[in-house]
Amino acid sequence: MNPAEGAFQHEACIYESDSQFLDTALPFLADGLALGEPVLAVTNPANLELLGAALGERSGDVDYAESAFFGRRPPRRVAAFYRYWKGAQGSTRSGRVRILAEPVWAGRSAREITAWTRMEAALNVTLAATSISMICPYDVRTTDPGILADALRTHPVQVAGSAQSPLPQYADPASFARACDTRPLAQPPDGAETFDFGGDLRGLRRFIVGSADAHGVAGDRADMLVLAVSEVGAYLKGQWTASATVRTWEQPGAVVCDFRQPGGSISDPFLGLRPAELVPGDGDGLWLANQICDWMDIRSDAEGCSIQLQIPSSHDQEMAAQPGIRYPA
Amino acid sequence: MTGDCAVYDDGVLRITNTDDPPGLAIVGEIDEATYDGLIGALGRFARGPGEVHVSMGGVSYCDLAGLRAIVCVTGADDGARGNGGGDSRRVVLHEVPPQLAAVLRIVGWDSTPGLAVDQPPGSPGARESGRHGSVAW
Repeated sequence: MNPAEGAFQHEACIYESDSQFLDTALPFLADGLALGEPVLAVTNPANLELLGAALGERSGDVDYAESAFFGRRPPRRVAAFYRYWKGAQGSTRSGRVRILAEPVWAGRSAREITAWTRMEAALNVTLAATSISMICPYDVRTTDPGILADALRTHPVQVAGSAQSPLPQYADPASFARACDTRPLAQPPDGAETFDFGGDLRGLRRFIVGSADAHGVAGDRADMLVLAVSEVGAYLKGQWTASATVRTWEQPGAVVCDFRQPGGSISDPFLGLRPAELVPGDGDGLWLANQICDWMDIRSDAEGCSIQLQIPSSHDQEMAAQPGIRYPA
Repeated sequence: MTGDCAVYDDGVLRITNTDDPPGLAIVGEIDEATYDGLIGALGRFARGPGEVHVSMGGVSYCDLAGLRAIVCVTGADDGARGNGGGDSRRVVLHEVPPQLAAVLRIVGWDSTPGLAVDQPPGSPGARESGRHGSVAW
C-alpha cells in the first residue's frame, strides 16, 4: 500500500463570518498548493467568489465546483470525491489530495438533510483508504442548529484557522448511519404492480420494462431503471435463495420499486456506497443502482429486508429538458 | 465483421469470433446466467499479441460484472490489483449502446488505460474532464 493511503482526514469547520471561513479555507488550500497537492474547492457561489479573490494569482491552480452540481445526491457525491482523488494520483507530489467540501443545506427536505448528514458519517468509512484531506465548512448564519450539532458527531476533528482539535462528540459512523435509517419506507398502495422474484432476472427485467412503460418512463431512463432493478435482483439472489416480492408504483414525481425479501437481513449501513472498481467488491451492483436512482433505501427488520428504489417519473421536467441519458449530468 | 462460427450460444447470449479486426461480436443479454459463457469466450484473448475488438451493438442487457469482464479482457485489472499491470493491450469497444456507455462513465471505467470506447453516431459525447479527471454529476 502506498504510504500516503489509508489516511483520510475529515474535519469540520464551523464558521460565523466570511473572514472566519477564509481563516480556515485559505491556508488549507494555499498550503496544499505549496506542497504540490491537487486542491479542489466545492462550495456555494458566494464562497467560491470569496476564495477566488483571496487566492489571487494562485486561484488558477485550484479546481472548483459548485456544491449543488458536484454530486446531486449523496451517493454521487461520494463517488465524485473518490473519482477526484483517483484522477489526481498522477499529479500529487506528496501523495495527498485536498478537498474543501461544503454541502448545500438550504431548502432541503428533512429526508434529504438526513441523507446528507448520513453521508458525512459514511465518508469516514467509504473514503478511509484514500489519502484525501477534507475540510467541511458549516455556516452558522444559514445552517440549522441540528445540522451543526450533527457535524460535530460526523467529523473526528474540528478546525478553526490552523488549529485542530479532536471532537469528543464524534460518533461511530456505522451507529450514526443506522440511527439515520428510522424513517419508514413508503408503503405500496393498493393496485401496485407485483412480481414474485424467485431468481429469474430476465423475468424481473421484463416486469420492470412493462411497469416503467405503464408509468410513462421510456427510452434511456427506462433502460437505466432496468439496470438498477436487475442489479438489486442479482444482489438478493447472490445472498439468499431469492423469494422477493417486487412492487412498483408511482408517487408524486417518482416511480418507486420495492423489493421485499423475507428472511433477509442487511447489516452493513454503507452497502452500495463504496465506489465500484475493476476489482470486484461486495455490493458493486447496489452501488450502481444507488448511482442511477435518486433514492435507494435499505431496511431490515425481524421478518426480512427491503430495498426500495426511486427514480424521477415522466413528469420530471429537468430530465425532459435534457434529452438523452443524463449520466453524468 | 461478424464471423459465422459462434463460440457461445445459449439462445440468450450469442458470441462469435471476428477475424478482422480480431475480437468478438456479442449479441443478447449478459447477466449471471450467461456470465460463464462470456468468460469462456473472452478467455482466449487474455494472453497474446495485438488489440482486442469487441462489437457490442447487439447487447440488449449487460450487468456490471459482465461489463467489468469485458473491460478487463486483456488484464486491465492487473494494475488495480497491484500486479504491475498498466501495459495491457488495447481493448476497443465498438457500437456501445448508450446505457452501457453511461454505465462506463458512471463507474469511471471509460478512462481505463488501454480502453477505447467507440459509440454509435449521434450518441451523447464523452464527458468533460477536469485537470485531474474529476467529474461532477
